Amino acid sequence: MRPRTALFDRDLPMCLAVPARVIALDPATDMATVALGAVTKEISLALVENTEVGDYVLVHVGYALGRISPEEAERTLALIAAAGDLAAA
Amino acid sequence: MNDLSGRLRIHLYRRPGGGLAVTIDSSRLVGASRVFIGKGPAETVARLPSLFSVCATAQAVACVSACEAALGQTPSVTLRDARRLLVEVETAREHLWRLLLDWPGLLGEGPRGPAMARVMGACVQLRSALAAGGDPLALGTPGLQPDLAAARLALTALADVATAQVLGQAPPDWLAATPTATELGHWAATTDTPAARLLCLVASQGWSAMGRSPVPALPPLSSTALEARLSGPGADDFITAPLWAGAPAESSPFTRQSGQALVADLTREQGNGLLTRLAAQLVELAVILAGLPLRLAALAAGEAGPGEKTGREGDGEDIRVWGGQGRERGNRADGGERRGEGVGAVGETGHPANVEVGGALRSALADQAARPDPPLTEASLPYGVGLAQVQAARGLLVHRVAIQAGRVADYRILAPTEWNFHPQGAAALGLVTLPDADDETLQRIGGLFVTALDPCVAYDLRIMPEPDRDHP
Repeated sequence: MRPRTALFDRDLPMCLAVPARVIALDPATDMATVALGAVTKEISLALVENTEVGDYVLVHVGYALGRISPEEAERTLALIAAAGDLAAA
Repeated sequence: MNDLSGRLRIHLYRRPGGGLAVTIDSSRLVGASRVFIGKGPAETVARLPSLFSVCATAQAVACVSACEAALGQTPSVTLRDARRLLVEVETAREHLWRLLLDWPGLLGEGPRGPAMARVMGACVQLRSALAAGGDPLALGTPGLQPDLAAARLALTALADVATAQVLGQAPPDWLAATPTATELGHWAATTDTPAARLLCLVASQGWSAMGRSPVPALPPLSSTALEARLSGPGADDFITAPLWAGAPAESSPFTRQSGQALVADLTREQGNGLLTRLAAQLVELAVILAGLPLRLAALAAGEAGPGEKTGREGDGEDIRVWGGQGRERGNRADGGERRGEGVGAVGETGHPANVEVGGALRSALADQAARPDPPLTEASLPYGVGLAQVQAARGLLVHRVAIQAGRVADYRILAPTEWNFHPQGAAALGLVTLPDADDETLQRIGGLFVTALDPCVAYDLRIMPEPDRDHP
């Protein structure tokens, strides 16, 4: 799934809870690479357990806060994209 | 603004004649709530919290409370107790994030990830326990059947982390042991936690009083004043850069805890600078954790929790709600039939539409006598409008919803970071008082100060060699 707009190309939102998809794991360091549209970022998995590649996680200042379902992620991304469209209007 | 990144850009620069100046720009998306216009209140209540990562519970409680008020619904005492408990635990979680992940970083130590993971787990367990027989954060939940045993376990786990990793002793014992700056200094010198070490560092470097500002605490807000500012053409400007009586104001753990003995003593000695602010976060954490057993007992008994109907200086109460609910037939806000007049009374008049569920955060150890609520001018809200204010982790959070014919017609959120990081607010005026030290020192003290004020978004703090062209 890709976000509907190019909003996400600069940085991962912080105050807003943005779901990101885990695309790689490094169990040795408990870090993961997550993707949000075209953006990838290294985050810590120290606060969540049993994360797997393909999971969606909520990201906050470099940490995964928790896993959410793909359906929940899609709904939230759609809301954020709509909010961004409103702000850009 | 087309950037959702929600980031504060803080630039400190040296004035040619000496001293510092600061600019603060925010790219936070303050208008995100408008996405709910046209949706039903139940969907709004269900979806809005999913937009917010760091204060989702406070956002959820403000949202459901405002919608209930707009619809003329009155939540039960048990529901209100459960919500207050969840918000307080979220505040404790946010403070623990600072204390376990951020403060060690300021000392050059590694973050306490496993401890914070236990905190997050306890918060999830508490939410599940309270929602065992009905979600307290949903609209129209008829009643709760919380799993009290599981809730108690979660709260114990939370307190255990704070005891072992932050305070070095149980929260009530810490509060009793640190009533003054002198005792706090003794605690910091004899306790082996990052929190204690950071306070020692600040004191030993002579940074305790740095960052003082003259910005006053945001006073208790009336529904009249909030409604005037959150509706109409000036609302967007207000929620982006709010002023009160034409001046900046502060709403934070420091203003909330300013009546606590330790914070008051530190303020007398050091003003509202770095040490006082860091200590206020510790005090608030301990006050919340010390009070949680009483909160849970009240929830179990179905009675108003501790602190109910008490006031305090500064921001006002934990949760306050006002609603304008009509009685006129044919146009109810929930899309049903109107029954009578078009406007419901609000405020402290005792009208049934008014839902007064506030209560000050205070532990049994608080030595400040409860103060009566200051007089507030309350007036009627328009039909179908609900206002809720919640004391969130970083300060006062306000939601205003207008519901017409069963749909959200307007939604506004006023968040505490907009007060505290206003371009002329407590952060800005505090930062310009920092010493004109070398860049590395200034960056470090500035980072400490911004962390102590705790914005709800990431920030970039940069030391600029010369004034911004955009901000001469």
